[in-house]
Amino acid sequence: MAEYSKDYEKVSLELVPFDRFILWYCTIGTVLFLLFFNYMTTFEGIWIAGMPKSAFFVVVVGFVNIAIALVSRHGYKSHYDKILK
Amino acid sequence: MSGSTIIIVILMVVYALAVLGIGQYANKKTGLGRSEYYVAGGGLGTITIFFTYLATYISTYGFIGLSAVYFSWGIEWLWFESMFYPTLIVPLTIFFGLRFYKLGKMHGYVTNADLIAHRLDSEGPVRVWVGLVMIVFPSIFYVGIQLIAMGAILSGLTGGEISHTFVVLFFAVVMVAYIILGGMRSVAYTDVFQGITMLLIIAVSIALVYANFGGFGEMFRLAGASEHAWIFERTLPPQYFYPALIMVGIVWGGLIPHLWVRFYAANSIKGVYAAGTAAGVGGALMYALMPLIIGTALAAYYPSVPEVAVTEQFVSMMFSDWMGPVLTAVLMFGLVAAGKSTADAILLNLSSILQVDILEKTLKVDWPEKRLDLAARLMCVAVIALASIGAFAPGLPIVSVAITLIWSSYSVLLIPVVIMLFWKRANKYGAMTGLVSGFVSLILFLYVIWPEWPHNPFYLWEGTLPVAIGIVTMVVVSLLTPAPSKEVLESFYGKEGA
Repeated sequence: MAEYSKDYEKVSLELVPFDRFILWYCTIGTVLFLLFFNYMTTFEGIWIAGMPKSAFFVVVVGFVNIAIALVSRHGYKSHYDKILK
Repeated sequence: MSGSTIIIVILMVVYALAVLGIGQYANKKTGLGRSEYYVAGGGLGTITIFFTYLATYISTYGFIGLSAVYFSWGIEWLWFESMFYPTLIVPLTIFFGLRFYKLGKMHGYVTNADLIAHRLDSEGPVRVWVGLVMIVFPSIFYVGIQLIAMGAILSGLTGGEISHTFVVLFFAVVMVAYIILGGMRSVAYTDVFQGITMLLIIAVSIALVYANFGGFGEMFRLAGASEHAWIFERTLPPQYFYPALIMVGIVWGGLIPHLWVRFYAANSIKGVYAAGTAAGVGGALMYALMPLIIGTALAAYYPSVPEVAVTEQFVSMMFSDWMGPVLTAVLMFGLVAAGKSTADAILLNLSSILQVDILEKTLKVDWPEKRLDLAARLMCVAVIALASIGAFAPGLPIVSVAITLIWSSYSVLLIPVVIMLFWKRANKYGAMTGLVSGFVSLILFLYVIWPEWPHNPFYLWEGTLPVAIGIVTMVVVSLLTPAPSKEVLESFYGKEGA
């Protein structure tokens, strides 16, 4: 049997402060996304950086994914690093 | 058979030998017992978890499927797949992953249904319905679309000299062989190899496209000025996208069955963070940037849509025009790896469902260890055989199959799972009626009541109504029947959590 850490004992099933931040971000982010969806996906010819608007926002989505992954990782790591010390 | 086809066959054999070699190495490292075989005893390190999550996340679907459907059906289908990543999928991966990690370690879970059956305090019916029906059904199609893409790539490159059917069968056999050899370790170790291969192909592909058009600006200009400019417009009504943005976004945030069990396999909390990072990287590369670049390159390169047997052949055709079939085949093995790494994870999960959920926990068979193992491996063979039959003659683009059928099927299972994780009043009666009503209504809407797309008169995404039916049923029936006992909740959440 492989060895694993006991750090899971400190992980909370209840909502910790960073969980709440994530859920608020998801809620507000999704509402904003829905509100701006029509704007982001309409075609009006070349718009910015040589791209149509609908293509430009796919690029934005791609880079935001990486940023959100890093923020999420950092937030949870900071929270649990303090508890696991 | 032409010289280039012979070289491609040799490449296929070399590739198969490489992954089988890794499978044999994993076999030696794998200890005894179910947990060791299916979740590596919870002992996978951070780097391995990162790559296995990334490789499982990234399938041929993103690079080949989305690029092709964006080129032939329009950018709205790429939007459909990329829009929920930054607001839901990426932030929720660690959120849900931490909970699966903790519960998996606390209770020694191996399968998805282990967690659900424990939470609901109900064994047989839950395991059979969740495992054998709600997970196996979409998974067969999910494996099938990976096989379709693999067949399209290599068969297309050889001009049909290697048949689509042969490629499908070849990779089906290879996958089953290395899963049988080493279980989760085999899948995870080959995923490290396949994940690195995929990152390489992404870098090379970007460079190729850039060099061929003399810059991305020129590529977009050509596409925008061509008769293909319509692909940048949206034609579907917003209500088709809105419910999917929420429902598919939630379930892909770490809940998809073959991704969920990766959290059981992590040996520390760092593995959960690694999975979250992999979701961000995978989402950015394979569900946004790469299909946008490759799909736009197709629109800029082909003045009109060329004739193909399978939509997914567009990408390998374009690369073949640029650098010939053999070099393209070398490049495309990165994509074959992408397909295999997703399909093998699903197959392993299905194997665990038969062995643990059905034979051991439901039928409680008193078979010797070897016979149980054999039955589980035969499950792999049966599923891949069914998936292969579907993949021999693909009818629709793989993206269409996924959005209509697979994502809907996962949603009717996994949205109720989220509710039962956080709403302690949910009980087994409510959850089971919710799961059954959601799935049955999905099948009825798709195949009986509204067989024509979009399978409802309101232009809603296909999963919308079945998920709503499942949620309402679950809540109403839970409230009308007795709440779960304190002992049941304490057993699942622990004394503090209950």
